[in-house]
Amino acid sequence: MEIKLKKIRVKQGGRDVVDDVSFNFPPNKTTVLLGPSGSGKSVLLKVAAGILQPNSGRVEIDGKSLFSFSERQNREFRKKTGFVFQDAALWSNTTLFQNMSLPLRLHFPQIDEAEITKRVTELLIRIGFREDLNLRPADASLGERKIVSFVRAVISDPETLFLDEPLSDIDHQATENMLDLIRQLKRKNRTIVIVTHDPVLTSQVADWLVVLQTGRILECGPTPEVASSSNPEVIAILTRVLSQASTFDGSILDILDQGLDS
Amino acid sequence: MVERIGHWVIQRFLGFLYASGFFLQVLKSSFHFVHRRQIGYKVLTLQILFTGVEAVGVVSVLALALGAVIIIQGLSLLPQFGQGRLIYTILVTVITRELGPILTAFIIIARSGTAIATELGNMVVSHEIEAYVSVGVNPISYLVVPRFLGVTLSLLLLNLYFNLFGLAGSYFVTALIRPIQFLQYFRNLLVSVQPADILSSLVKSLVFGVIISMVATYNGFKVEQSPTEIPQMVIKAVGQAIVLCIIADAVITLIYYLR
Repeated sequence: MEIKLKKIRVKQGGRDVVDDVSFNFPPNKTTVLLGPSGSGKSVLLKVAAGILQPNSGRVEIDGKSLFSFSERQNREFRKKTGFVFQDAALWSNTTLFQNMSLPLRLHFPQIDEAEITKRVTELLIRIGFREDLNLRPADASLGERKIVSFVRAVISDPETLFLDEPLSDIDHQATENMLDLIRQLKRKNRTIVIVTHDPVLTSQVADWLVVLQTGRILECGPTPEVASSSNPEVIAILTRVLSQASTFDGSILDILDQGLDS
Repeated sequence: MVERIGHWVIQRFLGFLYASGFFLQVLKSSFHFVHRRQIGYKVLTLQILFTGVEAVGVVSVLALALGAVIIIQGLSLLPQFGQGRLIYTILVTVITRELGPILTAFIIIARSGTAIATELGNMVVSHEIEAYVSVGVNPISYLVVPRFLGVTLSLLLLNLYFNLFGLAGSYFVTALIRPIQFLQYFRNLLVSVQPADILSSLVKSLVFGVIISMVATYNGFKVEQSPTEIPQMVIKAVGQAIVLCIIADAVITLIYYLR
């Protein structure tokens, strides 16, 4: 699936949070959006996923305007995509299990209840999630809700994934397991777009980097090129943004290099 | 000054266009609702349960009390003018044509209108609406249409119930204070009820149901980011629904008398 952003502009609270952004997400690659808080990463991710309509500009999916899709085209597109929200965004009036299984029920009505349960359970075991699935989201911790949001996004094995801070607020073991899952999806040539501040995730999965500042793309390209950028603003953002979430010593750019080599 | 007024007018006009588009979209989706395999049926059932079934108690008390008050007042005053039989016409006019639909609407605004606007507003703030969009569930079809149909249908049925309970039940209350002959009461009542009265009542409750559900869902969706917007939008929804229902009531009554 080819996703193209053309001259995207999004206004919120009287200011441009995304300002004239054009970018083609490389198909079957993992693109990481980086930037300081408030740089418009999450908004851009929602625009690319067709969740938020921009004030101007065009999002194209395989050459067709996403926001002009018919209901059937939209349903097909949603069947092939998954989205993890920064705050999980679970439906509060349904159980954790119902949250995770809805995409399967909706897009694959031929799958029976036993198979749905099996798929959900298998994924949860892989991640190491042991909470009661009949709980409502309000009864689960933020980390648990994030895991459920992740499972909801990947349960139907979509071609394209949009992940907004997928590993934040999650315990170490589950983080490792989810990182492993993301790596596996990458190996399966899924198109993945990630917003993250996590240097480990970035170093291990990013094929492309997009560096944003105040709603504009500062630099974008294959990770080695961006990581070795001579633009001092890009270096400053890479160092500052990634180190905010890091708990290790050493240069962030070195970590990126190590990740690419591994 | 002129610029500000112009800006205000343009904003209002754009808001009107947007609301009209929302209304048409809901109507279109409502026609498709019954033809599709819908996960929204559960929402529809719950909405009817909450708006209709759970409001029966309040509606009963109100209908009973109103009917009794009209009978008692009427039986005290009208015979003094030699117009005792007018009590039945007054009962039908007040309960069936006027207060039945509007009081039921007010109950629904207070109970369901506020609840719908609050719930949808909360869903916007917690990004649940966006989550529905992300998996391919159309929020209009899944969240608005069942509430629109549920509220409209419930209001229609509650209004019928209000009428029946108000007219019949009030007899029994009155019988405790001022005994009237059972058969005489109902025979006179039936003679006083015209098909136009029933039609007017049904049309009103239908229109009020549409107004309340549209205004509540529209304002719920107008919440943008902050939880503090939710009570503001709920207040707005209540105010708009009351005003629009009263205007619609006046217009329908006018049409009734002009026909």
